[in-house]
Amino acid sequence: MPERGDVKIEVRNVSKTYRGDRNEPTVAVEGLSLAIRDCEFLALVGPSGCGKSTLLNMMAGFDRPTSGTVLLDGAPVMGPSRKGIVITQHGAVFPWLTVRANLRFAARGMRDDEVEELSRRYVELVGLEGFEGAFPHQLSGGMLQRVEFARALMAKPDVLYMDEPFGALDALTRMRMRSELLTILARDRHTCILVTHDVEEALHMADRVIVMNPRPGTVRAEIAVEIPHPRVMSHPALVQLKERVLHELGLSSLDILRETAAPSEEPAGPSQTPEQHVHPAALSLRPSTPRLRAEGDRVEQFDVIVAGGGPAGSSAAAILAAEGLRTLVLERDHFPRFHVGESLLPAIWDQFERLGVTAEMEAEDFVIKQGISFGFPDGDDELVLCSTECQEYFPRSYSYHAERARFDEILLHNARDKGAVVREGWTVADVLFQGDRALGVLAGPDGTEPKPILAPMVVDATGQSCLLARKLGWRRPDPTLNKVSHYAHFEGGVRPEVPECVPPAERFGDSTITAVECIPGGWAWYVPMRKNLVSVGVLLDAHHESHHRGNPQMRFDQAIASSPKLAGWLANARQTTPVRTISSISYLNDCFVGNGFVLVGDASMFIDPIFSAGVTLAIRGGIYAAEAILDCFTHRDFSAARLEAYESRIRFPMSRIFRMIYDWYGMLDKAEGGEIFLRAREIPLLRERLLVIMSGGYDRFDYESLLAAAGIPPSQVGGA
Amino acid sequence: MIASLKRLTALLVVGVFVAIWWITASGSIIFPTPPEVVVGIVNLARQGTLMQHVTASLFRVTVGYGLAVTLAIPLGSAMGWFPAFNRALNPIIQLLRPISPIAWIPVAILWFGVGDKSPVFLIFLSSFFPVVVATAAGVSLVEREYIRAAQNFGSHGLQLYRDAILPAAFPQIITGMRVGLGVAWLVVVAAEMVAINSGLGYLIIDSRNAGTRYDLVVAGMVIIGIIGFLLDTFMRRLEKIDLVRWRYAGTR
Repeated sequence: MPERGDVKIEVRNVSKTYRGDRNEPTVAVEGLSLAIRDCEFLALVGPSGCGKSTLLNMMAGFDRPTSGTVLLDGAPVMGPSRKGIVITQHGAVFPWLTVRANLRFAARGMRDDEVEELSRRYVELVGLEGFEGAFPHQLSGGMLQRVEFARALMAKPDVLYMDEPFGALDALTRMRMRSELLTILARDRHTCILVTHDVEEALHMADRVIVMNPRPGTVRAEIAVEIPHPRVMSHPALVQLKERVLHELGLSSLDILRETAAPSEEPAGPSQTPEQHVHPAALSLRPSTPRLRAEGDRVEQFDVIVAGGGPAGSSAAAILAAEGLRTLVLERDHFPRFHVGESLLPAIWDQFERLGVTAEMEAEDFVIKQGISFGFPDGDDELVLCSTECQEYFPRSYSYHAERARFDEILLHNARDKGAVVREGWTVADVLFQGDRALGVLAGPDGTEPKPILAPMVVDATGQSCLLARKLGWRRPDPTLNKVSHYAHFEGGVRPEVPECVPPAERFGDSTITAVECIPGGWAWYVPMRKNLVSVGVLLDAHHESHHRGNPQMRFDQAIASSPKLAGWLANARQTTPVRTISSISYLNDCFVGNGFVLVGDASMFIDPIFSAGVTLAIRGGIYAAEAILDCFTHRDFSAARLEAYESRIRFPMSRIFRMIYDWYGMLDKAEGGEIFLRAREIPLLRERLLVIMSGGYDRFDYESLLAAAGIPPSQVGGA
Repeated sequence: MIASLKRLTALLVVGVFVAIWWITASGSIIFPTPPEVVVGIVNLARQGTLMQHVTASLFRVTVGYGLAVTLAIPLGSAMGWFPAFNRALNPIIQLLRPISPIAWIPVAILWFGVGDKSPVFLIFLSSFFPVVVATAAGVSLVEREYIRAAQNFGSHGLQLYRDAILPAAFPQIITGMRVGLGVAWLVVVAAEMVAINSGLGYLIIDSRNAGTRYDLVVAGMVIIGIIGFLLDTFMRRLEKIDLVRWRYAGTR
């Protein structure tokens, strides 16, 4: 047995370079050296993309360094082994085995009586008595994570590698699991490497914290945490260490709270040189400060200001207000107001439930949507997908075609009912900054001089206006998805029948489907709604459109006429609104969070409407943002580092839908890709999974592996 | 309560169907009524020929389907696991798959004669593709976390396949096997109608040729339907076992 304090793992001058889709190299880790002592608990912290997971994977043997070596007990690591077990947030407990069988799996090769003894011990240690015979799908997320730990310990590993092990758990369970793990480790000492973006988690558990620099990943600072366990996070030494770590991460928030707590104490007047305090991209504080003084008005203060009352903003506001935070929603328009994007997805029911609007949505009697049809060019067979085919995955096997004027109004009223202050007809002129920290907004009713309103947290839900992203230069349009849409409402169009894949017993009287038809230069949507109305629109390549003469109405008529099916459906229909034209260029902004602010919904990204993901993803983003903000208020920490949990949660589903959109346009442009849509007509499993993703179940399946399963080579199209 | 109500409704529909059959067949000289068919089945059973035909058909399905599954699962797994292998084999499989097994009958007779081998070959062909495709898809969709965990605990090579890949893909494989068995049963009857002297397909053709015994023709059809139904019920049961159910148990 090596003595405690001997070097256990040695990382020697390790670099790792990845090659991307276009063979461009990305240096994930560069020239990194590190020694970890036996039984030491080391935490790696840093922003996304700093190579901390890559480093962990190389130590555990799942990834090979491009250069340099990793030594475990003096011998080079050649691949994964039982000496070091990896635990991630994804949960790798085998679902086909019981808890007991999972534990035994880890103890293969040991004597029977030893296995018995060990499994009794670890089941007891992690508090799983009575659940030994259960299957994983019968357990909660927290319990699964305990099985994961117990199984890892069963292998009697020398090292535990933990990559965001609590990332998938809710805030409370996460804290409980942290303490439990420390108790376990106190009795059963191991060398531990923890990768986390949660500074507090690192300081709570580790003996040493390594702060990493991003792109390429290098060690920025090493901070020893010599405070005995159990640690109380409010311990002055820990608070100081936390400030130090945050400072190293470039996120120090030391005096920001003080500023927002008493903003009127702020020094003002000609002696102030704003440049010293104000973020270069945010000079708005300068004109507002003197006025703030001169009028001597009481400055309003809230906990959270939400700029924009669309689905993302009102969802975030409803959750924040329901938790007792003083929340202000500022909406430019007076609701109800027109908006396009009527087709919803079955995944939205979970979100309705979370927001508490299920009953109201049901009472509205929106038209029920039970499927999607895709009509392909060249007279290929249609792909018709019915939401009843994947009903195990969602609370309900249907969704709605909702007039957004009413739908958005319900959500905004819900925020108000939950206690948020909602002001309609108010424009947010700017966001106020101190340094890189948002302090509040400049806003007022239309036609009046905007005034400052302060809050420690600002939510930008300004939609396509992208207030903050434009101001900070974060807006990142994707030129390959530059589209223009023309749309209008019709009365009296043919209502497409629910297809045969919906069993008769599961049909609703007046349910229908969303129809998508490929047309030259793009595609068209046909979404039947209440009162015999239909939303019809076309999405065309913006570059081509710019060469066209003729007004939008002519372009629209021409595009519809090119689809015999849609032209037939609209033969006897009357257009009830003029043709509206908007730019539908997709964009994915650089960051969704900063110190004291988050971007949600269309203010963070705009996704091409082909798979109707917009509203569902916007509400989901609003909910995730609200949950991250609640976490901020629990810890009185409004830093970007803490808010990043929101960003990574929402970027994940989004990246999958983006991938699918590239594939779709690849098919339309006849370049490549898109086979999956054609192939889905024949392979049932593929069809089911594609449908789950299209229904908003972005976390369920990996689109890449779907492509692989269909025998489609990874496409070179796009990849933002 | 609800379940028994559903079952009752289903039985009622069967009853209505039989009733319509009875009424419409009463006026016909050739087409048998339900009681005539029942008498036909009983007679066949008494003579012992029924068991003989059923056993013959089931035997062929067992051998052909068994062979197909035994080959398709390893092949499909390899295709799902090694992308290069998949790229090489997928085109030929996609090319052969749409060819109806019925179209193979002349070729089968040419190659294997009119004995048991021809129908076994046709059944093999028909059930092979659904199982290969489902297995390949299932294996390639196996979650990476499970593979990594198994590797971490020391599995590699074939052991990794047995420990993680196969069980994780098993639900999909079972679905493919169910589809394959359904097709196999469809095909055995068609194959037996051509130049063979036993089996349920032969029973039907022989009864028609031997002086239009339509009671026995329909009796054969009814037996085929019942056995097919039982086979499917059995496979559906398999989809309910713990080794499979986890994948469809919804979210946790």
